[in-house]
Amino acid sequence: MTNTSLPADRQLLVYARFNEELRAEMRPLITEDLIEEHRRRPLGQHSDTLMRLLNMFRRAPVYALYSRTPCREFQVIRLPVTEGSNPTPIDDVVYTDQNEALHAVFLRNLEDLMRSGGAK
Amino acid sequence: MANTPFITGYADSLSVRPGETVQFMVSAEGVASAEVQLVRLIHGDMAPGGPGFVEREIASSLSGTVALTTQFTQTGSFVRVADPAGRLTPAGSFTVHAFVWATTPGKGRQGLVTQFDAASRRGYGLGINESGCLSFWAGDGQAVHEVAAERALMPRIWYFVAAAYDADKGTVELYQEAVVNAYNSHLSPLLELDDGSRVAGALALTPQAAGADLLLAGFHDQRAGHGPVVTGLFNGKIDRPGIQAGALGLAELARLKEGQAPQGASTVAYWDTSAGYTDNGIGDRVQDTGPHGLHGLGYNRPVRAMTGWNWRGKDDCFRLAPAQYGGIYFNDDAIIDCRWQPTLRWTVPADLKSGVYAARLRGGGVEDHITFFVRPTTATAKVAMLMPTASYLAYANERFVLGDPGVVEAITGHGLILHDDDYFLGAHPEFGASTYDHHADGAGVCYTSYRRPIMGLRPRHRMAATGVPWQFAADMSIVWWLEQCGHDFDVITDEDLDREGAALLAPYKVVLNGTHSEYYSERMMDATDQYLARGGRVMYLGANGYYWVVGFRADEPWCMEVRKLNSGSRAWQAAPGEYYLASTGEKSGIWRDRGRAPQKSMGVGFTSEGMDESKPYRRLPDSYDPRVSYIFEGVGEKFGDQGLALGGAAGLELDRYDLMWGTPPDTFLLAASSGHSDNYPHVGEEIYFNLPGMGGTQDFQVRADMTLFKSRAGGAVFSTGSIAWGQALPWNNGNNDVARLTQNVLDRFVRDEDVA
Ligand SMILES: [Fe+2]
Repeated sequence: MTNTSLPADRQLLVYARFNEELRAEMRPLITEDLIEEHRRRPLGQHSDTLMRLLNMFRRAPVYALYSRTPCREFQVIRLPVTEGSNPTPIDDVVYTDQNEALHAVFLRNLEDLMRSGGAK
Repeated sequence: MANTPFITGYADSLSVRPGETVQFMVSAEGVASAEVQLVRLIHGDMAPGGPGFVEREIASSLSGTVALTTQFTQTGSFVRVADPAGRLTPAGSFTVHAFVWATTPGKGRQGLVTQFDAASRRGYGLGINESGCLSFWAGDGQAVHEVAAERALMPRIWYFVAAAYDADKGTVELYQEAVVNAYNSHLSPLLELDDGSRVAGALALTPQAAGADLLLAGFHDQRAGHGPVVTGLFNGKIDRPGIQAGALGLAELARLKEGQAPQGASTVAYWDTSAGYTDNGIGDRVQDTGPHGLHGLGYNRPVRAMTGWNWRGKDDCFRLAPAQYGGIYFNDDAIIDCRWQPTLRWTVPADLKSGVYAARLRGGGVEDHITFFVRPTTATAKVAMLMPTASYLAYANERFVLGDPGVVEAITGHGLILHDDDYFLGAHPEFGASTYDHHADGAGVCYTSYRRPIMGLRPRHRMAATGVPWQFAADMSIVWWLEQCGHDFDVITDEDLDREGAALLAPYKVVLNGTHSEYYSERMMDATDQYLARGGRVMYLGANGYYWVVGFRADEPWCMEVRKLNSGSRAWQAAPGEYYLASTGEKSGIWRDRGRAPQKSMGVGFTSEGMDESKPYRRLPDSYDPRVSYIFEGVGEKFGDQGLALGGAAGLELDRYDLMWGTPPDTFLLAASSGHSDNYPHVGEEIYFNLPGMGGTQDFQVRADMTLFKSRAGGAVFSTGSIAWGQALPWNNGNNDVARLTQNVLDRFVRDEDVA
């Protein structure tokens, strides 16, 4: 009777399908100009396309920043941060500019987005 | 941070005056001793463009070296029943019963009704075993045996459960049956729930009494290096548990299952969890209506005023139908009071000026500031800075970004930025969470207390959701500005306001409130309104203030309660029927849903939040009115285009003028911000039908309004409508138009003449 290969919460299947379609829609919209728009100003109001892309990333964040010295040093970390863990940046790059660090997170998200498309 | 040296602690009282004694409870790891120094805190935020961290060392008898230890914290809420005569483990046969609604039956062994000590293997327990099944276990000092049901308890379903121990036969009969109606449980009674269980098994030993308190929602154990602890902590609700002499049969159990109180001489104890309620709240005592009156006492505040097994959905408050509100909600991660040993005890000297202070401890290469507020014996200035400590409590140890960061980043529109404090909290779940977090079982956290280390009370703390200071550390930017504004000021707190009312404010010509005075008790609201009605003047330099209804017990000011109801920007939502504060009996939720929108007291009320960028204001015609144009002396048409919080003075959270919500009709609408992004949506409580285009680029209601209105007897309220305002004050060493404007208002407000 019960199909054990399916999740107990069937909505997860819809979520996965929705995400796949949304990400497929977003991929062709990634351009050098869009990336440059984010690099110049990672926070605030952006073009509609960049807003849509960021909305998608922000609903399910994969990366964040760790700031060892507040306001002065930023490194990219991967989420989730589990209880009891110590900061484990994904690389040795230390950004001294917060906007540069936020853009590095954006580039990681883009890379994941494009890679998941290539795997299809 | 795990496995790194630390010093942390708390003051047992957040607000003290000269002559009063404050105790500092400190715990450390990897640090044997520390140098203690009293410091006056001036500024916290280290953002470029501001003054950075500023503290002033003050010579005092607090200075010296102190030895540190690691202190233990007992988390989890449970009920203790002292049993000095040893009545609760009857010799011979007996029956234990309760109604139970478990939220995490699968998490491991949990006690429901126990008088059991795992370390000595004595006593008995009715509880849940490692398989999530109802279980009765007992020990004789050598071994522990159990009899367990064959079907696991389903989460969030009310059951009647019982274990009848027959001493003559050496058997236990377990009884479990769902008592689901259309309202009380997660699922409907229209389903065939395959969850009843009746199991009889042999208990091959004779239980020996544990000689300890009976516990609801846990059992005793020993912890190496510490001593007795309570473990086996239960998540969920327990309603009307009891103990009867003799092994009850099915007919007697059926009567209990119907909700009849046990009758007759066989009752050993019956805790009527719905007894003792008053219109003004419910305390920690759990009444035993049995023959011995063995009342229980809650530890870490089990949550009362919760729906019980027989809730029928018609009445939504324990005051309307107390008998349907016997549920007591327990959480294994609740913490109200760490109850640490005092490390330092210090009497505030008579000549210490009112202000924000900390005990600074340095040792082993680490440092900690334990913040407290010194109010004056009697008012010493015309100006008072009201530190919104109730709101500090609400946000205390927020853990938004730990575990599942959820939609935090979508709300803020800003990347998450974690600091060492966040990792430290992650390594110390025992320091508890904020009213923005959930307990381990998903329930919203409704109690918060300052008798535990709180990261947000450290002056340099930044909130990971935005990377900027929030609450206390942000308010220090107002304190920094006050220190150099040319007016003396006293520091007072919400705690004082809640306890003393308008009398606290009466001596002051002007009271400034902080950046985010969001949480208000009724006494605090009344005190503010009375002060204004008697000619007092308030400068509300924040936003999303006067918003949530909270309550404190009169004798426990360190602990605050809030229930988040069905409107307002809320991190969780109270379950149906659980809308009223156990602390006071009042309906919680947002003040506007009780007829007291913030606009009625402050001229403005919550309209939007977003945390990507802050924006400037632009003046409106009222600002040129000669009666109030003094406010803008030296200020241009556009102002507030800089600040420590996201680059402007209007940002983070915004309040708006709205006649419909009670902004006084003659209010001057002096200025409004504009240009906010779509990461600033119009708030949910103002949306009746959702529709696209509710962000800052398309909705004019997304803005910070600056207002001024006059109250009775020469009183007045000036509001900036923005959290970021306070953090704009110290920009460029205080040489900026936001500071200029604030100075213009304060200079006028302290004088006797009318403000307009
Ligand atoms: Fe808030």
